[in-house]
Amino acid sequence: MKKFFPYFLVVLWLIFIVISVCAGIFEFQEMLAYDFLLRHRPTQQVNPEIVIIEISDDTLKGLGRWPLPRDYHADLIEILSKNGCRSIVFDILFSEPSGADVRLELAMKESGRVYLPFAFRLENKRGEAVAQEVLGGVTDTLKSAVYGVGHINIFVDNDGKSRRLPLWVKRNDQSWPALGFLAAAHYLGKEPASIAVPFDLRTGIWVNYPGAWLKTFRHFSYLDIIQSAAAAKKGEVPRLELSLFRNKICFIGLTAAGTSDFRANPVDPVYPMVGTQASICNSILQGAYIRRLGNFLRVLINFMLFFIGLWLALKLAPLVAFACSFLLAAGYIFTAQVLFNIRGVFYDIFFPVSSLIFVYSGVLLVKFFREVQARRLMEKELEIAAQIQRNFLPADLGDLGELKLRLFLQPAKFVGGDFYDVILLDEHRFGIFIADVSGKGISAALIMAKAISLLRILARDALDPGKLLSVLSSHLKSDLDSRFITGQYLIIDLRDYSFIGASAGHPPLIFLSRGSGRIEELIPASGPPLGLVDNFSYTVVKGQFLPGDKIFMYTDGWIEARDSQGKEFGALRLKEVLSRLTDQGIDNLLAALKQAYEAHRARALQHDDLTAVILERK
Amino acid sequence: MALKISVMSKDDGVVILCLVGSLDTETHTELEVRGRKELDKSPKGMILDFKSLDYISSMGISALLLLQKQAQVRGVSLVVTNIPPQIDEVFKIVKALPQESIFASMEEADRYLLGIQKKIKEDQQ
Repeated sequence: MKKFFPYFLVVLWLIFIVISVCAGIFEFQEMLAYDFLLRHRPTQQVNPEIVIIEISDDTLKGLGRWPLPRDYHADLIEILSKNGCRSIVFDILFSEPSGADVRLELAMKESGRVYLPFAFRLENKRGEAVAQEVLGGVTDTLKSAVYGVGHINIFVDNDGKSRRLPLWVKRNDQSWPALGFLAAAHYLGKEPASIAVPFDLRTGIWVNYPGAWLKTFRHFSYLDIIQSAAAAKKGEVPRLELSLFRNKICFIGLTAAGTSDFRANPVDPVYPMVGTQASICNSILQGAYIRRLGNFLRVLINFMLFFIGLWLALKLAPLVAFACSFLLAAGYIFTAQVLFNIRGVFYDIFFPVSSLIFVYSGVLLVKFFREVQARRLMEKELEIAAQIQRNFLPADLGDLGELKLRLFLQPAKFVGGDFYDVILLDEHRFGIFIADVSGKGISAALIMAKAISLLRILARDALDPGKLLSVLSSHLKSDLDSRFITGQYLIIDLRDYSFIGASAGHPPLIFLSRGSGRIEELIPASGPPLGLVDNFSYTVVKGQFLPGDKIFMYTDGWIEARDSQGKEFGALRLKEVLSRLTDQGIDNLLAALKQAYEAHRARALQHDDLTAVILERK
Repeated sequence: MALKISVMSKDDGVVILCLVGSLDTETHTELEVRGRKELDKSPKGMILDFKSLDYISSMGISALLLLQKQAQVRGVSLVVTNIPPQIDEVFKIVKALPQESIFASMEEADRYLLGIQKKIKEDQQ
């Protein structure tokens, strides 16, 4: 069951991907990503035949409050028509009758190229945009004069932005095209229904805003046109050359500040609605559409990114996987932007990239917990190994004749390479061995196990410390490769408390004389460590224990102990500490030495195994 | 502490490995890998310059011994020179390296290796 759990999670996530895409769970986030693409796209080329005639602040100042008297609109139609304008598209609702409607109707009839808008209250029925009622339309007087009528409805997303509009609105078995769409179709000499436009019945058409309002389309002031015509009539030089409106599609709309005909969109926080219709018109004329990939492809892309992310997280080391995932995400976003810029195609960004982050984090977390578990297991095994290793070593034997013996070992890790042994050779003699395997940890501990076993076999036969070291070294040579063991062997005769010893690469022992109060180093290394050479003759050194004398045998963990600044305890300091303890018992000596060591090490980690064998003649 | 190894090849075919830092449990594999790489190029001799080496542990000595063994197998003379006092102290205690492969200065090491090479040439003739 546990084995299949990861697969179950993967399947669960795949199902979640399908549901998320189809149900649009992350639609809001994907729309933000869509906005990012649109904003970072270069400003698009607009058809030069499309112009915007703005009823802006200057117009309202010059001609009066909004709504403008319809005589002005009649004037505008006459001026534009006289100057060869192709289409005059009002993004202004003429829902209520007015006194000037007769004049306006006449102007529209004479022009024969005027478009007016409808606005509906919409209901999405079975995916289609269906008009429940007319919110604003065309008066009966003007209906007969208008050339075309289109709707100006838009879809507003939850964040208040307008990204799409219904290309068609159905009402009473009649379908009304969007105003800009209608104007474009007629400009092309076609009916709207004959133009293949990629749109979704449910979601409409994505408005291909060419760019920020002021950076796109040619903008003209309504007031300037009226005044230019008046000036031309008077024979004065007009502000605007009105012939430039020849063959143009003129969109007329309210853009004065503080008026309500604005809506936020991805490229502008405040975008006039007349611009939306102009953008649709431009999109049709340029054949430049924005398309969203279908659900199937979106799910496929999500699956692909998920599996690639999963593979990276599972197969690669965490940092490498992170770098690759980051590059993958960056590449994915970059590709999305390029595809959008070139082809107008967009697909999900937020969810696939989030999925990538999620799968990386998830796998990393699982790996981390597995590591923690493995580490705990390892620590348990090491504790067992440490116990086994401690069992190898002799227990504190207490007193041997007049000699007191203390044995101390503190590994740097759970297990280590330092060891000691006490071997009873006969009723009068015993040997003391102290050794240090090169390196630390498990490998040193394994070598230690072999060495101590060999030592116990060989020690009983070789009474000469030098000979023992030589034979032991030869036996170990083939097994140690380039590793080695420093070792010191002492044989003590309890009849006269004399001792003989030899050292193979091991630090000399420290002899503390009670009588003189002096300390000296005895039995220095007379040859290389064990395991390096065959049949080496190690020099044997003799000595004598007097009552009160002490011997301190140790491994280099003491002198190489480092403080937090990396400074070593050092051989000199060791001798200095010991020299102050010549009249102390070995228990006090050991305690004082440990205290000095701990004070030196303070918070630094124990660097090496710490071993000591201390003997005192009572 | 880290270990940096810089390599310099001399015209006479001898390669010098300058060790900087600490040769210990964490860093000994760097010497093993780099040393083996240089030995594979069949130099006439190899000098380990310890002038900037601050510390050597027993694992560091093991790495040195391993490199020495590998050099011996390939017939390359390996010597150590410019040993700082603290490391010299360790070598004196441990006596792991033969005295004839330790030199106080680069010049002495050069002379020794030159002598070895001359001897090899004479033997070949």
